[in-house]
Amino acid sequence: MAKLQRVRDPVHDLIEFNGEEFEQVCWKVVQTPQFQRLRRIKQLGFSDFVYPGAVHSRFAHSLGVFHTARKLAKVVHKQLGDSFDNRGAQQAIAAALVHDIGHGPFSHAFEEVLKKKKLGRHEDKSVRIIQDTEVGEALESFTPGFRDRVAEIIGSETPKDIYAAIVTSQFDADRLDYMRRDRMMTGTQSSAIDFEWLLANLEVKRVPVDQDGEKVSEVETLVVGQKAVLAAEAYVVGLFQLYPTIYFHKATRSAEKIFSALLMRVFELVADESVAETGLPKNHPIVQFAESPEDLAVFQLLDDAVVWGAMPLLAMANDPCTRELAHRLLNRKLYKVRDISAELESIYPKTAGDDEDIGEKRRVKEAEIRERLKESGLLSSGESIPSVLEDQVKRDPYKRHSGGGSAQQMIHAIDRSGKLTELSSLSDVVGSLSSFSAYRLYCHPDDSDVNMKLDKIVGK
Amino acid sequence: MIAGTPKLVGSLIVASGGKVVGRTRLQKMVCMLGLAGFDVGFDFSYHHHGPYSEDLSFAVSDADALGLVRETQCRTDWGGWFSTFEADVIPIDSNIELARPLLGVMRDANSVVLELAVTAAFLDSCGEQDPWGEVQRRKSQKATPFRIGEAKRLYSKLKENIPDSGDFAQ
Repeated sequence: MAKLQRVRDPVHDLIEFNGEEFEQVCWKVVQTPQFQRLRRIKQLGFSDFVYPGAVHSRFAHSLGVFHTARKLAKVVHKQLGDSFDNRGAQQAIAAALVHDIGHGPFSHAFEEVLKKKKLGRHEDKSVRIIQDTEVGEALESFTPGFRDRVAEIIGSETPKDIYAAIVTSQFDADRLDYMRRDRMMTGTQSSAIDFEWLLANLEVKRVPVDQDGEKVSEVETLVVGQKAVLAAEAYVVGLFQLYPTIYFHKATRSAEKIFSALLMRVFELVADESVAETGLPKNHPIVQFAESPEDLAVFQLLDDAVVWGAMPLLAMANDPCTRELAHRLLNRKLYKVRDISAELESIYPKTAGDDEDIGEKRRVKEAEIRERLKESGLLSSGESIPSVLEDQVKRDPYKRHSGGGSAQQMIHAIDRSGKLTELSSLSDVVGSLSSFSAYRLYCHPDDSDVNMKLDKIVGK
Repeated sequence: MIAGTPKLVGSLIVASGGKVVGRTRLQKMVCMLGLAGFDVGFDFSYHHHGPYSEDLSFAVSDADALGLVRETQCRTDWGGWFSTFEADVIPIDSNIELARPLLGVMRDANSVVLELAVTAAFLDSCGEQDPWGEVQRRKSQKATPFRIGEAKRLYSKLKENIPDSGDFAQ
């Protein structure tokens, strides 16, 4: 029996890799350069601009997801008894460990750039890293074909069985870890979840997979037992609170928008063969990535530390746009927010239960502002420093079926009669939750010309 | 120019006969038009159901708010839900006019089969060597041999309805 490995973790306390072969293979994965790179990628990108404690890494989160996945596998084992497939569970636990291995620096802000440049999603990078690097070699050393099965779970859109649901579902190990970890590390006191009680009351049931009203198939997933309906309610409400509090905080989003604009500008300059204008040397990983975005070895050179290391050079670039944006990030001189949703709420105030007509007026007004802004040309900057950065977000902490959610996006719970029911019909709190949405513009506070134009567009 | 605006969404629904059933279908229809060379003005990236544009999703919502499109939630007999989108007030844009035959095929196709076909076309446009194999890997729940066969037939039909489809993938 190999040596037991122990990691102390602020969320889970002790995370152990026991001496059995499977867990030693997972430990071997942790030692690969690709997994170690996650130490240098912060879980929450620029959130430490708002919450100084939020500097936890994707490395710590990934270990937490591995640990949570093991716990979920035990729940599934208890539920399925003799029909439990240990190999299927091992594949899911390994997939949980490596699920974030394809993330780029500043995670979601970088993902936005990948999207704009049509360079795929981080899951695609994860699959390639699992297939083509030391990570795959470590996985394959457990049993032939293991690497492919793990890659399949990461690359698949919908979980095909209960084991894949450990990695992707409404109660997956990823969310069960990040909700607790992000809350702890930011220091916010809202969004607590009753983790152990939830886990103790999860059950395995079949739910439909549907699309545009057509039932496509059925799949086994984790559902909430009757005794944990209140805990599930708190879980959904907790997620709802995390959006405005952490993930879409206005200052964090301002930094993310500046970062995306900066990277896009650097990519443009590299594409124009004007690397010298960026302030970066020709062999810098950011330049190499802009030149060869599909090169996996180059992608793996990128992390938060590399980007922060480049920032003083970018802040001395010849190109005024690059210089200005880098300077702003380096010194946290962010564009100031103009929260259009909040401005409209002051004109059409929210009331208890929110009057439908008032809500509709806000929606119409907001759509009109977006139309006028698009026509104004303020959003296109070209080579010049962007005067306005636009930010529109909408997230549903929970998609009710009647709100357009598909069955696999919903939480199913067991009601008092033992029937499987959608959570919003058992919980008035969940049933009354709306989406979190925000429409914000970021601009120079001192640019009176732009602010006057925006006043006109907003209708002040 | 109405590319990338709520007006394009309204115009496209009118050109589809005034009604489109399903959010996923609407996303795939606009994506396919873009792949076929029409200037739709929305950028698509890979999401849970294949190519998806959040900007298009916002534009659909704005089109509804501005009265250009009516979105209705409908319930199926088995308890599922879906959206329908109707429009009749927007004139058809000259750019979109040429897409009528293509839109008609997509309007009448099965939503899942359309998703598979458009996802293959999208992956192909991203340089994927084996787009159909990749569709099967990513969408193992939906990509049954029967549906993949249907999707390949639909793909050919879509191609036939693209004006000047010389550069479009096989």
